[in-house]
Amino acid sequence: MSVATVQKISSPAALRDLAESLRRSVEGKLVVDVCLGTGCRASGSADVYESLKEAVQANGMAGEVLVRPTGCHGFCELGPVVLLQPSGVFYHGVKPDDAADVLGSLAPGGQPVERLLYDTGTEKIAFERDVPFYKKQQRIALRLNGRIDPTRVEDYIREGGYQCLAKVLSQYTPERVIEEITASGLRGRGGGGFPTGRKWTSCRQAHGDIKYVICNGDEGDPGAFMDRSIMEANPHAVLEGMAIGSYAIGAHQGFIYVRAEYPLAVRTLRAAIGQARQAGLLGEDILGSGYSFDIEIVRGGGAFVCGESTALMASIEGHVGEPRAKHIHTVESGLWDRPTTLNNVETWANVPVIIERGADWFASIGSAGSKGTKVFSLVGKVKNTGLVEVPMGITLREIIYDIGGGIPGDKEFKAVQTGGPSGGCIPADHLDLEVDFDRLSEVGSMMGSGGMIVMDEDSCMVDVARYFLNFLREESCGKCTPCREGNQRMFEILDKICKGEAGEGDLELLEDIADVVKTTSLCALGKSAPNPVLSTIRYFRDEYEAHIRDKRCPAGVCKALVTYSIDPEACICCGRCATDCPVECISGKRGKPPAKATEKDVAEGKAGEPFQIDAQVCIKCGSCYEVCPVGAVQRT
Amino acid sequence: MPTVHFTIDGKKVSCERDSMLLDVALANGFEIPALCHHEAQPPYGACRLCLVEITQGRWNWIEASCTYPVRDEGIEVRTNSEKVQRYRRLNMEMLLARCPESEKVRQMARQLGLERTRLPEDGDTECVLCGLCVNICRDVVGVGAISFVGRGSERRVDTPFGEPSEACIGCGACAEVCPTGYVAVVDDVECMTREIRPFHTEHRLVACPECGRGFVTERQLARLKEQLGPRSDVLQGCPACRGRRQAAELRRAYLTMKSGT
Amino acid sequence: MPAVEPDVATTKVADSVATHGERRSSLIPVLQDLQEEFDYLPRESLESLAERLRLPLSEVLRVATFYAALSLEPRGEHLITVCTGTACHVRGAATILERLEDALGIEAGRTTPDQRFTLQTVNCLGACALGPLISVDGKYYGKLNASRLAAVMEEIGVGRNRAED
Repeated sequence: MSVATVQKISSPAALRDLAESLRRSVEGKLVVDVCLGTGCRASGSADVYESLKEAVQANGMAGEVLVRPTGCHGFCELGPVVLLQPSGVFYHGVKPDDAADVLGSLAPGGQPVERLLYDTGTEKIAFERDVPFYKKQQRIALRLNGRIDPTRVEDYIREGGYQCLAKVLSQYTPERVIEEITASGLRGRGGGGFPTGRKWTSCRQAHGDIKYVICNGDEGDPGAFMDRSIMEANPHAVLEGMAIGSYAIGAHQGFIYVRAEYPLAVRTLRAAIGQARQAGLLGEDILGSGYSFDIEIVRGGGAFVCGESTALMASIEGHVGEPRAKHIHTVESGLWDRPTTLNNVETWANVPVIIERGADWFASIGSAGSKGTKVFSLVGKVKNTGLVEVPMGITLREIIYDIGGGIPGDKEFKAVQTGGPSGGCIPADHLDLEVDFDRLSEVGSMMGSGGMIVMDEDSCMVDVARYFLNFLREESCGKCTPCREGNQRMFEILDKICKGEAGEGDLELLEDIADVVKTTSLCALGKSAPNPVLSTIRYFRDEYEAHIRDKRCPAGVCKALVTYSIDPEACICCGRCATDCPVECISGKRGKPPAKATEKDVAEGKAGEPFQIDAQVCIKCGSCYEVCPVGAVQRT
Repeated sequence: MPTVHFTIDGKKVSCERDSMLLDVALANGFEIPALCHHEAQPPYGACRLCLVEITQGRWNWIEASCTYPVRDEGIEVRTNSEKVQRYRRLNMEMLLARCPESEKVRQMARQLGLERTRLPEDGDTECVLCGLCVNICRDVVGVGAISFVGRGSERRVDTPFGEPSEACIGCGACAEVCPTGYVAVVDDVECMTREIRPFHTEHRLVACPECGRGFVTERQLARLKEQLGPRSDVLQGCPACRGRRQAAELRRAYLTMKSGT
Repeated sequence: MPAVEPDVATTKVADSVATHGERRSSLIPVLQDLQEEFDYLPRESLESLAERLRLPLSEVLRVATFYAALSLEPRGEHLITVCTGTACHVRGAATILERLEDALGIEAGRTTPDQRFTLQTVNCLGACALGPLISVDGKYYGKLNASRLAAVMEEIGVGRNRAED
């Protein structure tokens, strides 16, 4: 990826001129956008990118065709993803060998490459806007994902980037900016849902000459990768948003805290900051306005608790991520005891658009209490996994079925987990729930950062609760008694339940501990830790009771409560189960199944004997169940 | 600073705005249990035993009083309501499971009306992770010989690498503040050594030139001398002998003055 | 990996502190530089760092032992990371982890006695659509099932742990 040098842009007018000339320079060009986000990279898109570039050179098309590396398009399930501009043709699962065909289909009138098109099962879809996954989405925070090269600030400028900052610095007072954000109804996208305008107002009013803005890029909820893709695909949207917010509250220094597990996001942001500085869009005297603002990147150290604002600030200061009581708010006394505004990546990414199109426009989208859109990471047992940006108020059903395509293998939907480890599981009864901050809380879950994990009939809800408590007990900072001791003990009880070792009184004890952890923990991590337990008990109590009373796991997940056996009548004696068994506990004789063996076969030793599992040795890994071609392995 | 008026268990009290609720309650004679609280240290908020119930208008909630700054007029605080008792006991159940051998924890549990815990008593330490030893060593003594290590349920207090500490001066402040007695100073008068248990650290004691008692460690004496500079000659001898000597000198001076010479 | 020479460790500390500044807030970035350079935090480097930043050694260790991305123990030649994020869990990550633990003969968080492999879990790699997945020395292997995992293990040289061993 190239690092272009941009000249310092001296004024808003110069910025407009530059944008115009950049637009003219790509007019008429054909573009192949190749996703190089983390997901598609893992599927091999870097090789696809190289092979497309080579093909363009080889065919002497460099003058008319631009092969552009972009950030995450959001449809990681189908990567590597390629998008043609200006036609909007959408290709998926592209391989390096497809390069020639892809280029062939570029020219106007060229036929799209059929095998690379999205297939609904009944028809092939050529254009991205018609693909069911994208059709119902409204991309605001993700507006430029997949359409720009995130390593070139020129791409962002060409698309109108930094015009909002220019407008704000030359035409708006800080108070006007805050009014606009307040009127838009924007609420924090990191999980708290706190009204952004109100936060900025408090910070602006706080005493102190030195103030800070922070971008929370810790994104610790497992299964959530919205912020990663924004940081990787459109870093300047975050920088511009922070600059606008910083101007509004009266700060001159910002920090972006990125979790350790996102090295590509760190690299992309660093490069973007470097280019923005060169262009005079960050640093001293931005665009000749006299206003100065700069940003530093701070990497997380691998601690989920550092997503909590006071722990995050402690981490920047060089301490362990131990939260503190928040009676004195961080907007008054935060980083180094100075007034600090901390907002999530997605929140910052929305700011320039609100300035550009106005608060009324933003407030016209969404529900009464939750304005705008939200990016969700739709993952788990769903056909179309990826990033989905939709207006608040859309129903779970629309997200999971219309956009997500429903459950693979025609299995039955069981629950959707939202809000990460702080959230809860929502059952089928609530599929028509309108998704917004308040409605999700009403049913015992929460929005959180936007993780949406779909579960089907093969998921055990007690195992899900155990999974989350295992996560939380390791991530607890350990400072306060209820969170440190309580998460550990809740995990132990859930572990017992999953092993069939729980007894009378254990469920009540679990509920009591959940109560004290929720009520008396010091910070939000502890206070929300019992949510996965409480919500699964609320909606799936019968599963808990089956595990405790009947020592049975209805979903067939909890190994200690599951037995694998082979139906001798169904067994065709192929022996694949025995071959794959990691502990060699399956025995039998390969050959013709008894039902089909003739006397001659028996005499010649060609008759097989049905295979059997030695239950004493079996480790319940499920390999045999997966591998049996006729489904003769039973799981009870 | 403006004054805030409110009630605790129905009694009218007042305090300077931003005073911590626990301090106000204790000053007014209310008894509230706590493990991580110490009058000479800033509030830490770790043990969650100092819980109280607060009602303000239509809001009602459970709060850790040590870290709650009083700002609002007319709040109603209850130090021993049913809810408060319930949550104190539940936290104590978990501490009992963690520290089944600790006499102090058992005693506090009994005072709360809790005889046993429903959780398995499989903890093997008497440390309740209150943080008082860590904080006093680092912030007051200024040495930082011990600190927290690890995270979550693995969290513990230890010296670097679990080895005898090179930085420890053997002052015993850690033992002084420890609420359960887990940290203890053990002096061996025969061998003139001091052990800081459980931090695997031993010191040589210095004998008082007058009574021969080992009253301070070599390192602590050296540090005090460094800090006091030219005035460090006052450190001759143990506090008892020093006191006697100084009293004798004062008496001599007084008599001299009185006799007019 | 052989232990790091004390001189090498202290030089790296000096360079890193010079880059980030002699401040409390440089503590974690310096530790991260050391972790990247040596794949763990050599004892000499921690002692040297405490001196340079004028902090008690216990304080440096408090931070070093709190963050999961920092390690006081040397890592093996190859780092196998299993994603145990929720999406991967729902798609069977626990079984993947078990099979690797079985094959390597160690628990997650440990290194094999021959120092060849370190096995660890991470809470989310952010590639949820490809779950369950593992990363080996930074290279991702996704959409794993029993046979694909076996193929990957073969490729990286991890033997199957037979019952008779």
